[in-house]
Amino acid sequence: MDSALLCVLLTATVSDTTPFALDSAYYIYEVVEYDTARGETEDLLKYDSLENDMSKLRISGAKDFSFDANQGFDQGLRVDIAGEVGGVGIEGNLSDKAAPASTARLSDIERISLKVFTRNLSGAIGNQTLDLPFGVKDEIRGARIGIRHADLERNINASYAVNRGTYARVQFAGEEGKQSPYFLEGPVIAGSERVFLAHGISQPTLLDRDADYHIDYENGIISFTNSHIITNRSRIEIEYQKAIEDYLNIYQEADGAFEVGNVKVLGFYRASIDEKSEPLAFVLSEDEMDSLLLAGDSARVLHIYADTSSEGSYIKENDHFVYVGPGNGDYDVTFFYVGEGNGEYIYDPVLSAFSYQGAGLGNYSPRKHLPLPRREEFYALSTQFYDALTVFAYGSRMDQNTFSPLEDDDNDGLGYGMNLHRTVGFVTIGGNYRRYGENFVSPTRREDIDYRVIWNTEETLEELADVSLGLSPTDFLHAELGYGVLNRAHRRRFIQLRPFFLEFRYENVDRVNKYSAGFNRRFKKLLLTGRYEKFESIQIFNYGVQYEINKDIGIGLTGGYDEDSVSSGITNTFTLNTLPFRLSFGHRSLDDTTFYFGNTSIKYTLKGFSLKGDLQQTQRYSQRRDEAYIKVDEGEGDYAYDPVTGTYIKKDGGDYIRKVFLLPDFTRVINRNFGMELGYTQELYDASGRFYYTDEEDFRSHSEDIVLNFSRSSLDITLLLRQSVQEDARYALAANSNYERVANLVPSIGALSGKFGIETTTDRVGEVEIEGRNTYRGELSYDIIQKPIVRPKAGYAFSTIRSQYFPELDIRQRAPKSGILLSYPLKSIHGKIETSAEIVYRIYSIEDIPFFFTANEPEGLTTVINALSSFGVGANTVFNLIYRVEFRPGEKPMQNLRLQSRIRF
Amino acid sequence: MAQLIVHIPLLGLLLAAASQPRDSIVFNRRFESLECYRDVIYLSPLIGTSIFRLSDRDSMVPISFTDDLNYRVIDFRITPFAIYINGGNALEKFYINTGKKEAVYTSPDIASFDLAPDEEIILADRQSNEIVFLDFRYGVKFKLENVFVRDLRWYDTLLYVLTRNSILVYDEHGNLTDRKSVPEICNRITLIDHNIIIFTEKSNYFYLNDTAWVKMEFPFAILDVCEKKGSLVILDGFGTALRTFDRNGF
Repeated sequence: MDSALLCVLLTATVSDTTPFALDSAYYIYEVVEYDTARGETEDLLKYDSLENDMSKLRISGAKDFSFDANQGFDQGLRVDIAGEVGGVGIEGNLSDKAAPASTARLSDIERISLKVFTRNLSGAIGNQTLDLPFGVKDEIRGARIGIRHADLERNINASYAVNRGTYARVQFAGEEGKQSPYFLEGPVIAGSERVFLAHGISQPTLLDRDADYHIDYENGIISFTNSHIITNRSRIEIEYQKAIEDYLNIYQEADGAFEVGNVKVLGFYRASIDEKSEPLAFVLSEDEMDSLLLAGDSARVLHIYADTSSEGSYIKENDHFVYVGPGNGDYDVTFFYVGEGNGEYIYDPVLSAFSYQGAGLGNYSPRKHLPLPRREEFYALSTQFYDALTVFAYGSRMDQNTFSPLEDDDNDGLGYGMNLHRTVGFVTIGGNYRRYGENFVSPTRREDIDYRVIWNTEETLEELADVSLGLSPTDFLHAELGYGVLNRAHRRRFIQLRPFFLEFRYENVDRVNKYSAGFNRRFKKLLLTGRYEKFESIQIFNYGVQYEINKDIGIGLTGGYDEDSVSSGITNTFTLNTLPFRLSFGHRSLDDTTFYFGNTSIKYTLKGFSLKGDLQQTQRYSQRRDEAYIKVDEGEGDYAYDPVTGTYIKKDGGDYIRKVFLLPDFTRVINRNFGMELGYTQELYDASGRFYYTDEEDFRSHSEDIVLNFSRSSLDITLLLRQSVQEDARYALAANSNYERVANLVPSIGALSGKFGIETTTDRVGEVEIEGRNTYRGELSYDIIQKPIVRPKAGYAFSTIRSQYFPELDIRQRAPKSGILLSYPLKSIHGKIETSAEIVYRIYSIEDIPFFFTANEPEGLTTVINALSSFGVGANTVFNLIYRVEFRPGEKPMQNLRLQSRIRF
Repeated sequence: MAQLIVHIPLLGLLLAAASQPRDSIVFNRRFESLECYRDVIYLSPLIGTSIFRLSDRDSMVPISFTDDLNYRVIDFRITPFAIYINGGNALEKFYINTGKKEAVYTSPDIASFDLAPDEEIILADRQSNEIVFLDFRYGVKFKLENVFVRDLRWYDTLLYVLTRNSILVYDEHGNLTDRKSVPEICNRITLIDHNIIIFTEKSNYFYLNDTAWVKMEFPFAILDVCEKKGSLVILDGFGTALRTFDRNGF
């Protein structure tokens, strides 16, 4: 041990424990609220990294080779680099570790990251989030290099990469009582989103991920937590990076800054270029390319996503596709959801396929407008004088279709403007002017968040001018007034007064008047807030009362009232915060409908007993769904088709996979879920339990696990009880449900171990019990020798099996089994040899057992042999040889051999 | 359990002044698990949709890995490009930059898992009382049967398995190389500088093993422990504060 830690501990004298009082200093620090504006930059270009301890370069990693008799050759590499060479700091990782075959495409996303840095130079390779000048934020996979002066006031940076995302922005109104789901277009780059929420005419708030909302990046779904109840007064605005999926997109960027006296100059160039020869999700035909060439920038060429295949499921009849079953058709067809009434096909849950309805009569289509390969360039230059006045100019060039030279005369656009912000004494002057040309294109937002509400218009910003004047003559009085013009058509005026703890605001946009008044006042431990606002026919009042009983306990009540000419709503939320217990509950009532919501969490412990849990009730929209089984290559799936029952049976190495389709059919549901864990520990025994529960209108899932353990000397007894229930009625055709109840007793005394269990399972679709099974099993094993391990074992299982597909059958299965484990450690060469064999003889009570039951458990003798040889060569190389063979009655032996090696360095 | 236990009121001895927490951070939310990876602290709630990175004391960055509101995070591990999360019935790998997730191993009750330095996965399947070693393709390499695992940790080249009565030490081939009895029943194990630390969540002490078990008491309950830049970082019993102890301060 190289630390002083243990040295001190071990030389300390033994004494009674007298925990000292907690020092108040423990609480002097507090984590500041997460500022999402900071984003999730990986800080690849940290300037202070050299301050880390890097006295030498350290390279470590491993190289894996694997040969699998079934899956072929595979390899993986992992390298970690950290340290310093000649004053140059280096940090990096490389991983091309393969992923499982079923998700092979994920192997592509294992990657490289490398950082190199000195005091004046930094460089990075890998996935990077770039926070760039002029509000541009990009997600790239590539290289970036920067040179800077030590004072950081002069720097120049450049990037060359594959662009991972493109800026997207959506704005929508909240739906009363709908916390989820809100859809974004396309997959979202992880961590790139900024979610703003506003109610009434209040300013939008940047929300915290996790605390205020959850996001499903792959499907682009936003769900709001109970922290913010979404109403019809809510406005939601989301900026994010939409994953690029159409063409490989090359990214080039350069920026630089320098400062001379009180003048700062900033320059920026950015290009994003689709590689038209490398579409990512489709193949362009010659005809399509000719069409794109002739069509110019306004081209709209439809592409049909259907590939000819002898394994296809569709045939073509009269210019549309007809489903004929897996392997019976000539085409593999991909259908896209295009909105109600916009497609030609609908998903048919009976067929588990798409059926043609006619143009404009469906919501799915195999046709999509071909995405056009684009080239986008952006230039920007700004100069700031005396930290007060900033003048900027933008240029852009956007070719909407790089296949075609036509219609390229409108590619260039310009923008320019200035900002002024200066405080002299108690006077603050602000000014802003922006003008964008007709063809100007920006790689980021050109309009401010909440622009449409501020200006009460749907028009695009072309020209904006506004001025403001702030006055703060005393500490208790602040005033601000302003005037602005948009597109030379809309005018906006406002005045705001903040005397003491009060705030009054009046705003006029064209003919719309907006009024608000509020206060924010703290009286020692009591905080009071209130706000009233009125615009058009809408009135909103919000209030808040929070009382801090002591530093660990606080209570609060917040809420509001809102009304317009047709409806009125009330929201109230009560919160109680203590260290072991937190509670928040409330209601939202709109006219005659009420939605109750709440969250509770608890952490409690007392003399060996512990309790922790979370409970939540919220409201969301549940989506209808359906399942389909897709044919894959033999052995690549995990389901097999049973033609007798017409069902798909879960079976490893099958030739079907299960896929769930979401249907455009939503139902408003109350969602309740809780998770709770209990524990109790004594010297001889302990118990623990886990309980999880989720309930919605069409979906219920709960699981309960209890573990009891008793131990004394060499005797150890464990009892495991488990129940898992899932009832899912969201499926289009019939509800799916399955129940599993398991009780296992696991005793051991010395070298003798046992396992005895009872298991009950039921799978249902609608009212039909697909399969129900009760199993009683016991197994004993005994370590005759412990070094090396020689462990024979024997067991017996008895099952009763039933299915409403075969109501006349009363099936009982007996399955005696025996096996042995031999494990011999090879200490001299750092390895071991291990062999295990198990034979199971299954006897059914009836003859001619349907395949439905025997797919995984054939009648007769099944033998499984496993062999493992593992040994090291030197300190850094390990070889494994793994062999498994399974003999099933009436089937070819299933065997697999894996040779693996790992070289560490 | 006849063990030599050196019983130390950690902060009450001659080094009391020096051994006070060098730093404390209080959160406005609750966490359950703590992980230090390359000098960055990561935290997870009991039930939640994100792992949180404490990139500096003023900023917590949530890394959302699921939209399942009922996701129970039993434990997690960080790697340069991915986070491995044990949800109890599935060990999942979440790719940080793409937001994609895949199941590495499924079982009704995965009690604990850890990563070897070369990202090889070792997990404890409580349903079958087995320790499972996965290869780099996430296939099962081999299993150790009849081991009722409370927690496990890989450190350096060895696997440390905490059971009710003892700590079993295995090499990478699954050979049992050592067995240590424990001073009392605990349910968590970790290692810092080749020293084993065992504790029970919510108790206000842990045992540290060197030549003997040393009981170290704190004026607050412990939920999780990790090491950052040679300092000991403790998540307190309510999951609302981190205490950092400077190693030189002990």
